[in-house]
Formats: sequence, structure tokens, C-alpha cells
Amino acid sequence: MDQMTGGQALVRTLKQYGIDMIFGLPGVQLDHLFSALYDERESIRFIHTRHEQASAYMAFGFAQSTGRVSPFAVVPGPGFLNTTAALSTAYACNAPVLCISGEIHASYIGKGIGFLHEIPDQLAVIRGLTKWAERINHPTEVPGVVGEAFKHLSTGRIRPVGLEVPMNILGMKAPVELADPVKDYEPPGPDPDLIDQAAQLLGRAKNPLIMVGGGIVGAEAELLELAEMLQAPVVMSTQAFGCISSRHYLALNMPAGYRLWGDADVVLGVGTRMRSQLAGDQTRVPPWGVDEFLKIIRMDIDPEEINRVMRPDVGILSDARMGLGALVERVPTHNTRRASREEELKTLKATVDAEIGKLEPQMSYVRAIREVLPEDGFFVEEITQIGHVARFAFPIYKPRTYITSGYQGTLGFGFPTALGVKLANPDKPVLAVCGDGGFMYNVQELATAVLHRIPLVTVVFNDNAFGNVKRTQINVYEGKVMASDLHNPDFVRLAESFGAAGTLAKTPAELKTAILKGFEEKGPTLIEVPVGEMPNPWHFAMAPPVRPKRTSQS
Amino acid sequence: MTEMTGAQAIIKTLKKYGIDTIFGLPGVQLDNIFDALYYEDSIRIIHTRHEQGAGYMAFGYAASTGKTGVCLVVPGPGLLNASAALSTAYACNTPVLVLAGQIRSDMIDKGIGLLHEVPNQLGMMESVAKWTASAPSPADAPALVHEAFKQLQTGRRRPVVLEMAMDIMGQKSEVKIAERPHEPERPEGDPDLIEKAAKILGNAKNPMIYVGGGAQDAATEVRELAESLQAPVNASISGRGVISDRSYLAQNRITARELWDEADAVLVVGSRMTGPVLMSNWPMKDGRKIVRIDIDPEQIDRLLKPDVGIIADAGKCLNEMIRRVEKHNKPRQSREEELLTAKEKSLKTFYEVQPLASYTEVIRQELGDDGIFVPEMTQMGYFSWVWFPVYHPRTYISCSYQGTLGYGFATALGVKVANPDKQVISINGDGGFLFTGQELATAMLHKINLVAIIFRDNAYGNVRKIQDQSYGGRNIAVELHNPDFVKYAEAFGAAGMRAESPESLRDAIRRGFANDVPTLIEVPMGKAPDLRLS
Repeated sequence: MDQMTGGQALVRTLKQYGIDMIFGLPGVQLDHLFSALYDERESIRFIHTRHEQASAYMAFGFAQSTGRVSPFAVVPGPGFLNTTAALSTAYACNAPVLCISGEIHASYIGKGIGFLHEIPDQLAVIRGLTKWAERINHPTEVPGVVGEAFKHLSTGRIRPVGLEVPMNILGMKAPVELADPVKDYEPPGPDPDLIDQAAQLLGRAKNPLIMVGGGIVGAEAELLELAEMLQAPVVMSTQAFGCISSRHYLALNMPAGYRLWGDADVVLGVGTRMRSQLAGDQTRVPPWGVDEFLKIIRMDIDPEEINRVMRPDVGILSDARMGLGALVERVPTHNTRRASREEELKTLKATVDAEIGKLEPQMSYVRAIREVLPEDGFFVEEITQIGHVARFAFPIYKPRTYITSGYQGTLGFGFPTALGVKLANPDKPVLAVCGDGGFMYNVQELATAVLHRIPLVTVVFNDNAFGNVKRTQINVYEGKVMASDLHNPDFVRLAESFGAAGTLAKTPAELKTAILKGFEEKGPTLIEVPVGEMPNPWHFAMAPPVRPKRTSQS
Repeated sequence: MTEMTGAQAIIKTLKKYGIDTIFGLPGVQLDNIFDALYYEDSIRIIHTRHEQGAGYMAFGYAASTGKTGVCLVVPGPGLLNASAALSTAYACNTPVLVLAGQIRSDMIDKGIGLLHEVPNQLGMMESVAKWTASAPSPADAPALVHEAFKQLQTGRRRPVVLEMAMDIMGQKSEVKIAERPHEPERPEGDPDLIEKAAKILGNAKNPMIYVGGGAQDAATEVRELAESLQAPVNASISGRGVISDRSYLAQNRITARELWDEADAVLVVGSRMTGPVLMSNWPMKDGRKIVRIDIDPEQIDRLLKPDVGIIADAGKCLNEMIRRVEKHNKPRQSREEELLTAKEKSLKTFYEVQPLASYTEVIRQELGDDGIFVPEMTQMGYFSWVWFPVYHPRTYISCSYQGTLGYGFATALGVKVANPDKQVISINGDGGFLFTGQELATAMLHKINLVAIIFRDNAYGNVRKIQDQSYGGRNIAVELHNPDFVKYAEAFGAAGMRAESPESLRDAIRRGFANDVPTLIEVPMGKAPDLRLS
């Protein structure tokens, strides 16, 4: 057994698990961790940022775009607290982010003396934002606790995990036995009886419909095979975008799915919360609705999710790939002969797209971006008008290439998340769209992008407002506009002050040119697009219930 | 009883406490409360570009005035974004009231995954606040706001969080807005203990006083007692300004260290004593009597067990102590000459630390005695802990033990909002400044004409120093690329200047104070010398 510090044990164990990039900020409680990272600097790239929030968002972007575990390391107290909004985003998006937080000297924890960066019960806060978190109490515990962390990051519903390491434990030397990492966990397969029940329902269904969420990623082939044999349209949440290429006639966005909901007789939900369909929205938009003529089958890795809002007719606890694989085998036994729905669905898609297409100027910009972003390029949205429209109008061709903040709706997540996406995918073009409001949350990371040469292209649609709030104030609160108008920097000059490329684009055509030029740069590009108030797109996302139906189906 | 929404019930009760400024960011869960604020001409809304900015500004507003600073944010990421500012206010015993949104009340804790939903939001806030509550109905709101203020006014002053679900904010109901209750009396302290303490201090040959943040509202009393005892006064970072550094009794950490050895009685007022006891290991001495005054019963014997420990409000207790010390006090000669000489001698050390000493002198001279100084986690800031003279309470706004990198600039904006007629200077490193650099837009929009200085060394300089000194120069993750801060400021429409010497900094500060826009001054720095802080 080798003598090593807790910091060395931690870095070496992470390396064993294949970690080759860590995000973070240094600080006194982490000195020994960084010393160990220095020794491993050839095999682990460390990206230091200008605010801890960005470290965590970058780890989130890395994890979301690759499916791989992505760690960040920060000092305790304010350093850790600065990452909490990003952690809540990773939590909402089921992303395998590993939070490594420093902690004050172990012997003083909980005494309330008031050491640098001390907060009461930090571990409780970490636990509140992760699925599992633990403190490392001795260097010898490192391999075991890190192994446990990776188990949680690799099994069940994937969500962030936290480790807290007191500063003296990072510096303490002890004989540590590095264990072989456990990397392959057998995911839980489905109950065959339930698969048979589901296969019967689906096979006999007249109008089967498949709803998929983020849990579908990794099961794309099985999904497509099942959808084709059932001729069942697949309605994708943003988290699922790309699991079937938008070009496929079975691949539908939410507004198109909404139009089929009323006629569906069996719905299969896979790895999705089905919030819009079953629970509705907190602004009192009711769910699409259910009734006795609709059978619901749900497949999910999270047992809580299956029955959360209502009990489905068949609830299958299973890994999506194994569960869908079993259905693909079982459905043919029960399946009705089905004619291709290609023509019908293509018409539906065209009709819906035509309606969405009227949203201007949003759609001209969405189309312009899609035209210049290669098929395997990544698109990172934000809480901004173009982002909102992209959720039902941006065609996506590959899994994991559309990155959102999920239900967390985190203003400001986009730019640093996209930096993490680009670092994880250096050979692919990455584009982030932001509003002026969201972009400024992490403007400081332009410095990080220049230092670490991250050639991300970021488009800031500038309406000099918290635009969504302002529109609500105008439309719903009789024009009582307050706290929503903004003063902004000149974004081109701002970019240039950092040594980044800055461009102004005033039309979709100019935007295309600017993006293409940005993709050729060695460093970051910021493109400002001045925009005015834009029409409300929310009726596409928040539509009235279509069920229960008034008349029964015969 | 009047019919009103939950949001109106909160705002109307806040008005009873004279709240005139709220820092915050709007969002869907807060639509109703911003609508309620639209009708309140007496409350100014400063909307920021990141919730952390709102949190720090509320902190700066409160720390520089002693009044409650209010911060208004959406739930989930919005509230979490403000959490480092709250941990700072917590460490600094600062009265910050956070009003947080919450998802619709009937959907809380179901885990459905609604916009800005986080599990157990208030539970997490318990690590950064002394009290948290959720207002379940409009009718309950006034009593909870009153309770929040009671928490802010009593005991150790620390942040509180009050949340209200979005539907309750919009719900109309019969509400009674009760008048503001009398402010709770702060305890004066047990008279027997005060008498004991007065005897100890009055009979001491070499009494000494150590003050922390808990003495910020007791400056007059501290000075009066110190004068009658001819006791030198040393202040912790949070206690800076309690005694004016113009007074011969005010001693810095270097001179106080020597006076400590000969002290036979020490009065500690509102301080944790971490500096002397834990950080600097000032030696203990048999027979030395310790008297402590603290509002927090947990604090009073945590690090340094007192012979007499009095749980009390500092000002009230000191008032009584002054009266009683008179009876027991020895005849004392003025120590003015001796103490001034000691201070004078220590200045030699100060002047050796260049160019920091010269920059410090320039800033101090230009700021004016009642100007407010906001340091940061940067070499100049650490240097200021000991070497920046402070002349009035609440004019030196630190982040205390929280050591929050990046708190400074946004905090200083809140200070300036609260003190529009005073000069405010914020100093920053390049590392810290960019943590809240977006708030330059807020400064422009709301015309907050702060003068901020960035001492730029293109590094996380303190970490680099440690890596150089203790880790064999194995530098990792410390070199920084920076914007050209002059151009950065200009991109926002603010004034940007560069100063490369103390005299050019003086000129830039003067121009900054005369500007009708915020000013950013970049000062290039090399590696910092040893700061001579002890």
C-alpha cells in the first residue's frame, strides 16, 4: 500500500474511473487537492473558472452532452453555495455531476466557531441538491466512498452526487489501497408479466402514442424499432430531443403530440415525467387530461416517478433499453397489422410547423441557426425567446445535442453550460443562444473561454429587458412594467475587451455569416442580435385539456 | 380588515417598518408581488443582473446602516443564487430579510418537477439564516413579517427567509395589517455581573478592550469607557471603526499584540475572539481577568472562557458599566503619549509594504473621514484589515470570516444606494471583481455612482502565493486572463481609467467622485509582498 494524502487518493481514484477533466476554483481548503492535481496534470485537465457557478455549469454541460460523469471541485461555504443553482439544474436534468466540496478542518465541524468559509451543516445543503452525498473522514475511506459515489452516478435515476472533504483530510497521509473501479452495473430489467400486459395493450391499440423524456437516451435503437412496428408517433420532451431524428415521420414535437393526444387509446411513456399530460403547470394550465378510454403504460427507472401523479394501467420499473428491448420482442405476438402512417404524420408535422413558422422574428432566427449548425453540432438553449421557440421548433438529429435546463428553467445557465459542452466535444461545433438577461449571469466566463481557448459561438438576442417578464407585465398586468427594463453593455465591445471576437448581426442572414465565421475561430465568439418585443409563443406549450372527451369512442 | 392579495399583505407590512428599498429580480412566481410594488411609490426597486447581486446589495445596505436590507428572489435557482450573499450576511451578523417565491402551494414537495422547484427549499436555507418561514395564506402574512423583524432585531442579527407560494401571493383575502409592535428591548445584562466586571476593570492596572462586530452600535460607549480606563482598544476586522483610528486609544493588531502581554484585564465586546485566540495564538496569562459582553449566549465562552460573561446588548451594558466603573476606577494618567508612540513606531512596518502602503494612504485621504470603504478578498483588502485607518462605525464593510471572494463590488453598490451622499470606494482583485462584474449594468441603470478600483495581478494571487511558498511553486489553476478593465467599463457606458502609481490613482479617484456615472479604475500590480499583518 502506498502512502498518500487524501488529495492524492481522491485524484488517483477519479483517474481510475476515467475522469480526464475537472472544473473548479482553488482556495485554501483545497490546496492539497490541487497539489495532487498538479502531479496528474498530464492526464487530468483542470479548467479553472471565474465564479464557482460556472464550474458547476460546465460540469453539467460536459455530463449532459456525453453521458459521462463530470466532477467539479470548490471551496466550502460561499464557493459551494455559488454552485447550488447549477446543481439544482443538474438535478432537474438527471445529469451525472459530481460535486466535490472542501470543508473546514474536521475537528471544528459543527462547533460554530466561524472559520473561513464555514457554514452550519453544509452536508445537509449538499444532500438537498443531490441524490446522495457523503463526507470523507480519512484518506483510507477515499476509494470506498468514491466508488459509492460512482455507483450512484451510474445506477437508478442519474442525478448529481456530492462529496465533502475536510481540508486536513486532503492533506493527511495514510496508506491507501486503491481498489479496482467498478464500472459496469447491470441495470434492472422489466418484469416479463408487465411487459406482456403492455405488449398486449400496445399491440391491440388503434392509436398508440409514445411519449419520451430524458430517460430514453441510450435506448434509441429499441425505441425506433418499437415505434415503427406500432406505427406509433414518438412525442419528445426537450430532454429527449434527437433520440429519433426530427426528419423521421414518427418524431413529433409537443405541439404535434398534443393534437394526437385526444385520439390516443394507449400511451406508452418512457423515462418521462409526463408533466404536461398528467399534472399541468403551476400557472394553473391544466394537464392535457386523461379518461377511461385512454390506457397509460409507463416505463421508468425511478419507482417514485411511475405513480407520482396517478397510477398508470401498467407501470414498469426498468432501464429503458432493456424494457423497450423486451417490448420489441413481445409486441409482434399481439400486434395488429398496421398501415404506414407516414403520409398522415408528415401532413400533421407540416401543418404544425407551418403554424409555428408564423412566429416572427423568432422562426427566421431558429431556421438560420439550424441551417448553419451541422447535424452533429450542439445547441444550448437559454431562458430567452429564441430558446422558448426552439423547444418546439428546432429540428434535432442526434441524441444529446440539444441541451436545456429542464424544468429548473435556470436563467443564466446557458453560456457556461455550453462552454462545458464544447470542452467535452472539441471536434464538434457548439452554439449557445442567450438573452441579454441570461448571458450576463456568467459574462465573466468570457475570460475563461479566452484563457482555455474554448471556441464556442454564443448568440445574445438583446431586447434590453427581462423580456418574458416584461411581456407578462404588459399582457397580464395591464402594462405595469417594472424591474424588467435593462441597461446593457455594448456586447461587441464587451467581447473585445476580453480579447474575444465580437460581432453585431442585425438579420438572420447576417447571423448565419457571423456563426459560420465563429465556427472557424480558435477562441470564443460573441454575436449580438438586437431584437424588439416578440410575439408570445406560449400557447404552443400551454394548451387547454383535450380529455376527458365528451363523447365516447366507439 | 381590508381585502388584498398575499403579496400586498407582505408589502404593506414591510412599509410599517419603513422599508424604502428592495433589491431583487422578477420572475413568474413573483409577478403578483412586483405588481403590488408597482403601486408603492415609497419603495425603490433595484433590480439586478444576478440574484447574488441582489443579496450582496441588501447585505451592503444593511451592514452600512444597521437597518434591514431586503432582497426579493424567485424560488429554486434564484434563491440559491443569493445563498453565498446570505452566508456572508450570516457571518457578519447583518439583518437581511429575504423574500422568496415558491411554487404553487398545493404542489410543494410532490416532486413533480415544476419551474424552479427544489426539494425542501427552506430546509436548505437553515444553513444560511437564523429563521425561516413559509406564509400559508394572505391573512397569515403580516404576523410572519412581524416575526421576521423581531428575529432581525433581537439576539444576534442574522438573515431571515420568508417564502410565499405564487398562488398565495395572488390570492385575495381579508387581511389585517397590524401596526408595528414596539421594538423588543435588548437586554442590558445582569447588574451583579456588570458590577463584578466594573470592579475588575476599575481595579486593573493595564486594562485592555477588544471589540468585534457586536460593538458597531456602541461606539460612543466604547470610547467613553476606554477613556475612563485609559484602556487601549483593538478591533477585529468586523469591529473596525468602533473606535476611531484617530484616537490614541485605537491600537492596531501589531501594537495590540504587545499591549496584550501586559494586560491584566481584558474586556471583550461582541467578538468571537478567533483572531487573538485561534489565528494569532496570543498567549494566555495566569491572573489575567477576562470580561465578555455578547448578545449570543453560545458565543460567550466558546473560545475564551471569561471570568465574567454578560449576555447583553453592547451599548446598554456598556452604559451601565461606565457608571459603575467610575466607583471602582483607579486614578489614571493619560496614556496618550505612550500609545501614540507605539502606533507611530508600528507605522514603520506599514511603510515597508509597498506599493500597498502608498495606495492605502491615497485611498484613505481621498475617501474622506466619513466615506465608506469596502475591501475584498485581495492583497490590498487583507492589508487593509490592519493598516487601513477607519474613523467611524459602519464605514468598513468586510465579509468577516466568510471570506467571500467576489462579495465586494456588489456589496459596495448596496452601500452606495443606502448612503447616496457619502463617498464609497470598493477595492477588488481581478479575481473577485468578475464574480459580480455584471452589476456594472445595474450601476448604470440605477445611477449608482460608485468608485471601484481593481488591483489586477492576473492571478488568484493569494492561492498563487501559497503555491509558491508552500508547494514549491507548483502553480496550477491560478493564472488568469482578464479583460482590459478600462474597455470593459466603457462597454457598459461607465467611466474606465487606468492608474499605475499612487498619485495617478489619487487623480482617478477624484475624477471618479466627480463623475455622474460609475467609475472603474484598473491598477496593475505585481506579486504582492509579505503583508506584515502580525
